[in-house]
Amino acid sequence: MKSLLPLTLLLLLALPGLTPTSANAEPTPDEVLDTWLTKQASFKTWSADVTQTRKLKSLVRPLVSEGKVYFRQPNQFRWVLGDPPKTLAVRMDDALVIVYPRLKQAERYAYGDVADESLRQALALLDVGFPNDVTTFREQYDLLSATKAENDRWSIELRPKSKEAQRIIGTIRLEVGGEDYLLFVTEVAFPDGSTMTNTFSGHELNPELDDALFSVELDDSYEMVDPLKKQ
Amino acid sequence: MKKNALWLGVVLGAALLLVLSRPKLDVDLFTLLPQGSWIVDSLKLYQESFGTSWELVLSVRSDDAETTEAVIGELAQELEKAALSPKILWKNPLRDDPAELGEILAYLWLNQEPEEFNALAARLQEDQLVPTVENTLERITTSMRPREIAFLSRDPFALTELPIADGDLPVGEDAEDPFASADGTFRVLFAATPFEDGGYWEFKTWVTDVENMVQAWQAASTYENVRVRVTGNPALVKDAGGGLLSDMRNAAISALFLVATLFYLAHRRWRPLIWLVVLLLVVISLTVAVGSWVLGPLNAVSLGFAAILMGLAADYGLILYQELKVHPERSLAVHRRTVAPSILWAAVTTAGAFFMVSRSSLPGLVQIGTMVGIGILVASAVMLTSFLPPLVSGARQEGEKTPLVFGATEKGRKTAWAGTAVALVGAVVVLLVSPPTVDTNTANLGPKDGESYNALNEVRSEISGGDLDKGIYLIVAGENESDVLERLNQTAALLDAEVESGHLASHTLPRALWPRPAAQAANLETARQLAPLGAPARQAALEAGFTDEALLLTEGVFSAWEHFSNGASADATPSLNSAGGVVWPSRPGADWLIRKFAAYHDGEVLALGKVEPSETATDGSLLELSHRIRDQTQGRLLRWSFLGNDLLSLMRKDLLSVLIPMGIVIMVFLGLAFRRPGEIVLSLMTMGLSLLALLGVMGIFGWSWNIMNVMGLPFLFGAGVDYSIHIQLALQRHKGDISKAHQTVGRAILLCGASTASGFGTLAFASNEGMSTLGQVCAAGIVLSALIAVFLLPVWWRAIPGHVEERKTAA
Repeated sequence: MKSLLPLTLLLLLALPGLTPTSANAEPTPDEVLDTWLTKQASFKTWSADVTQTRKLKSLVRPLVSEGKVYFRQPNQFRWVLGDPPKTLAVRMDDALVIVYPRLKQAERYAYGDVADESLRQALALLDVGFPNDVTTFREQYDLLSATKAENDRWSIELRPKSKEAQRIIGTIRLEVGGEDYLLFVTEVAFPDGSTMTNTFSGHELNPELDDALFSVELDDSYEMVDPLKKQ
Repeated sequence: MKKNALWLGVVLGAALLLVLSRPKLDVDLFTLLPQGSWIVDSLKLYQESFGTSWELVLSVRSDDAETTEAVIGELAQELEKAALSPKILWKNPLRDDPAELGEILAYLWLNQEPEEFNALAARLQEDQLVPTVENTLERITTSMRPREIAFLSRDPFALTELPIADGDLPVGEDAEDPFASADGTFRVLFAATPFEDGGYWEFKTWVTDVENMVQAWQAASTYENVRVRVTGNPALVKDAGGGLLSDMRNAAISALFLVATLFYLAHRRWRPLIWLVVLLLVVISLTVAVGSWVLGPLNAVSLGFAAILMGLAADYGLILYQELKVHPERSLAVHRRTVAPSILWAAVTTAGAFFMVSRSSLPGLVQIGTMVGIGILVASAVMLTSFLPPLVSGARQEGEKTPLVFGATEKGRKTAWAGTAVALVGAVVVLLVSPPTVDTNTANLGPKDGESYNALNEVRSEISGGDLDKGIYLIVAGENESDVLERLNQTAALLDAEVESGHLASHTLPRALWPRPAAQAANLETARQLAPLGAPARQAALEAGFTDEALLLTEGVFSAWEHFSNGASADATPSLNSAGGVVWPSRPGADWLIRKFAAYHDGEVLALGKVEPSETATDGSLLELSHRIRDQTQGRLLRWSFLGNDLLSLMRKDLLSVLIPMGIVIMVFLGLAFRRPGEIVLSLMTMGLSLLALLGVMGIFGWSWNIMNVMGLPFLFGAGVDYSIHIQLALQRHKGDISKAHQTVGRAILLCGASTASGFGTLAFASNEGMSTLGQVCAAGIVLSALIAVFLLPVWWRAIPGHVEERKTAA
């Protein structure tokens, strides 16, 4: 038996994926994206702190707001910006409710009723980091590149496939962990040069999330409008 | 020789007259539409006040938006360089110029209730500027509305947030681009005409210049897969006019050729044939000259008169020549004495019938009727005085007598009676089984296709707006802006109720952009106080982090308030000629915007709105709504399809207003011509059976009546009377001898019928569907009238007891 051990090790090393060369090879951009998509789709729930930075061409200084984001498969999410909350966006079933507590206003967007492309893209930005379906995601975006950044994270650059969407969104950059493929940054670059960056920290994977997080109860003091019906 | 020189002089003189009086051609579809119709008047009002009658549209399509934009920009430069247009527009003048938008905003604020404007003024006081800007920044930071972020990032004082429910600006970042398709690969450019008054010839020259410029640019361009098309009213007029002119020219040439061929087949003589053709050209030339002098600009459709007139005018020559051939020994004076009554009575009656068409509501038909009427009178005079003189000697030399063409045997008479019965019964049976239908489609009035029409359809399918086929526009008129505002509010209340009840899906009235003179008067003082705060406001915004570029809108608003409060723009709205101290914004961008919904027309102020019908709305319910709006607010609801309903009642009205007086005129002339009831009844029978037979033919071939061809009826009655007069006067002359009547007039009438039917028949190939069906129906009707007049009428004439007695006496 002993005499067979070196030969067996040699054979095992010859298998694809086990050779030292194979272990060190960088994955292709497609593999990086697919790995992230698969990983992200595998979380049942996800939450993180978020810092949103808006750099607008018309302003010399970036605008920063802190908040929290929660996600539950297949497509429920809750974004909270500001402390105390200044904006709350909650997806419930097939509608998105955005609440502006300071203004005592709330808006309800039924996804099926969104005809305006700019609004559709704006809504899509809220769940771009939480794909639940690899095929659908691939149908919506072209992969431009996936490179390792200096901080050892993958920087994945995407562009919307639809020409109409390209008029509103230039590119989308995702920054994910080099090894764990955890989402750290989503950055949207608009054609006019403005950007909106969400930086995530304090990730919690598959936490227990209360159902109340994905619903909105508003008292009578709020004015609820349906901007799509108004249009 | 002297006579020939004189006639040559006449011909040349007529031709010169025609050339010098180059007729002004009108090919505008609206001049073809029925007059006196509320709907047509409304459509015309829209076209004149809000349409693009004086703008050419260049469209560009390529594979990508960048190329399309670059190409349209280059074309605009080329047009400007060639000085072909005084005003070229290819992008929203408000979108790239915040200062322009600023003036609109300042104007809108001026229109708000004074409490609202005062509240804004409070936010803009010096001590409130910093908190106001900080509030805006916080909203930009946390808002999830793309539109709000886009606006506020260039509007630190939230001036774009007007306190009115329907105050949305139609020129926002996400508003539909009126110059480009959604994907940007298709764009349009508007180029104003360099003239404000002109017709077909001016449009043709100018559009051709622009097309040549485009072609030259394309030849030198390196762009690939780029398609440039030219459309808009000037191009449509050029295409439609060119097509109509070509149609009418072809119809006239074909008619002339057919008349000449028929004449040659019947007589096989070149000399009279050539002389007939020369005189026909003289008649046409003189008629165009006289017609343009009487009518002014001629609608291109009315040039169809030439083909009709060619056939009718040839009749007189044919009758004269037939007489000359049968009696070559007679003198010129005798010939004229013999035939003149017949020709003159026929001419007066037929011309009278055609003049009666001038009572039609269709201007094109009125012109055709008048032109043919004038032409018939001219033709009768020209033919009676000029046709025979050069031919008399030739006919004498030939000394030929034409053999009898038709017998007048007992068998022939029995056949004629049988023919009468068959025509009568056959027509009635066909009418019972498949009567002709009535078509009220307005498409009959215009040409159907062509490059510029196709290009226009492409523009309509790619870029919405301005298309009367798609939406329903509403024009509200008043004496002044306040009056219009009041009516807009009344109309809105009425439309709201319609939306509530489900008849309409929505409506858009320009109330948010309409001036409110009372509010303006109250707010001007506040605007004057706000104007100097522009500088500190700018400083506060810069310190908060806004860039210089982001403040252009704000600066534009403060600057416009200063402008308005100084009274510089009250009454200073050159495009609208506002009166009464009402403030309208006056910069080019605002002018472009305002022209989309406001206009001045004949001393009235007009506002344009739009109505969206619900899915359950029908043409009938919308027409009923249009009547209610008209009755309650004098508003005009516009839709092409409404015209179809209007046409049906107009057709009935026209028929009555044309046929009744025409019947009276015919009866008077028949009475004067015959002075006996028997002949008058026979003429009426000829017309009646001809009409019945025509209806039968229409039923068999599935033809329908429309507003154009229904006006062929007077033509047919005129022709029927014409033939019946010729035949009956010939029967009188020849003492009831059918053989002799056939030999002289009968043969001529068959030739005339064939030539006139040829004239109408050639129109059947015209691209204008109305003209085409008119030609079709008239050609069939003329053939039937001629056959009935020649073969059946003489036998009926003989059946009248008095006539038989006369015949026996003559024998």
